[in-house]
Amino acid sequence: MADERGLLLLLALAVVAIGTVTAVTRPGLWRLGQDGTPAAGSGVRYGGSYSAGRWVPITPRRQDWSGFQGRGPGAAK
Amino acid sequence: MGLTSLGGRRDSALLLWPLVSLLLPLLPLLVLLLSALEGPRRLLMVVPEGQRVLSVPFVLEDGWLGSPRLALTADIPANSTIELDVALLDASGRTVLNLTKDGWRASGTWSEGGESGTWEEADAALTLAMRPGQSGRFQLAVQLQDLLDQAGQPLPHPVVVRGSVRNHSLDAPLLLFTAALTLAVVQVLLLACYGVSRGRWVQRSQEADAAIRCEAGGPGLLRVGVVARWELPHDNPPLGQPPEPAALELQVSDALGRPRLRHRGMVVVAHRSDDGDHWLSVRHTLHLRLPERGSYRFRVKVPQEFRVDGDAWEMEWLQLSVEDGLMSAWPVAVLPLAGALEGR
Repeated sequence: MADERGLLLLLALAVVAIGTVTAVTRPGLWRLGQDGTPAAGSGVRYGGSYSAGRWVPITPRRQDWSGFQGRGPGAAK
Repeated sequence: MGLTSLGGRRDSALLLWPLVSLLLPLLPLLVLLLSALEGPRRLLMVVPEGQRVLSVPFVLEDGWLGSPRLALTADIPANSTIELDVALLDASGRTVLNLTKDGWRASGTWSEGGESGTWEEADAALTLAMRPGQSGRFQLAVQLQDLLDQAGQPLPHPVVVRGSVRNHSLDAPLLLFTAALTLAVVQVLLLACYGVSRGRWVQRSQEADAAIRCEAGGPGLLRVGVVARWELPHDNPPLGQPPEPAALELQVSDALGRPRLRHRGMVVVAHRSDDGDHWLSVRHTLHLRLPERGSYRFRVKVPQEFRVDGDAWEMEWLQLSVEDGLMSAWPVAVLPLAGALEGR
């Protein structure tokens, strides 16, 4: 029983340490110069992306965008 | 651990260190609270169509304590769409990132079932979470490409773009999840520390007394639980009030039958009713400390019946439970052995 209590305490400490440190340091966050682009929300188009540390613009191309994206009054009530 | 005093004596049944674990789930919440104290740097840009507008310079810091977070929102008229070019410039004015935000804002009215109201939805904001690689001054360059109404016609209004820059933003959902998960683990830990007994014995009787002989005792507390129930012999509701507190007797004898404890106390009798059923019940818990493990007999006795105001409550069942090896987070009243205790 004592071993189980110790393991549970270690588990609680590990959970709080790993979760908090990861949330603070955010090791997976995109870094300027890193290949690719940062995660983007809806309706965002990047004008290029990083490759080998250089920003490589893409050829401007207007996307077929339908404009209004609202779901209408049913979702707004 | 868990050594404290009861009447000046060390009590080995007290276990305090698991209580400290209750502070663990607060740590992520405290970090979240501290991060909220960081005031964001506000940006405001008025962007006419076709012009490139620069924000005031701001600093993006690179480090381990959180990460920069840029948020932009375009204030656009209802029922319009926008195409907004946004570029991030470094201290030398070089574009290090550029993007286009396709935004919209729609509103209208609804009516259904005799009720009506207005609705509004929008997607005219963007958020960038990233690390700059190294700390430095940056600027945003914003250019309005299109601002169109619902018919696709250009709107002449300039657009106000509001922004905020935070340098130490944290992953708030992960912190909340961490707090919840830690709390769950801590609850399991507390259950393992205080809710689990070494042995448990239960005896249920139809009579007004019940007895258990078992191998019990040793380190920790011993808990004697008594649950009793009396019912009326008919389905009619009771005529009078519930009875006064009733006498409960507990006797503990050792392997040779020698009495180690005779306790008699008064316990509260509660009147319960549910869906037309009425009954009287007693729930009582007593704690003992039997330092030496051995064979003990536990016997409890409660009144066979109550006669109050014309009601004749008869014994339905009596349940006796014995658990040993329990630890407690706080001092509990323990019945003394080898003696008699009268009344409470």
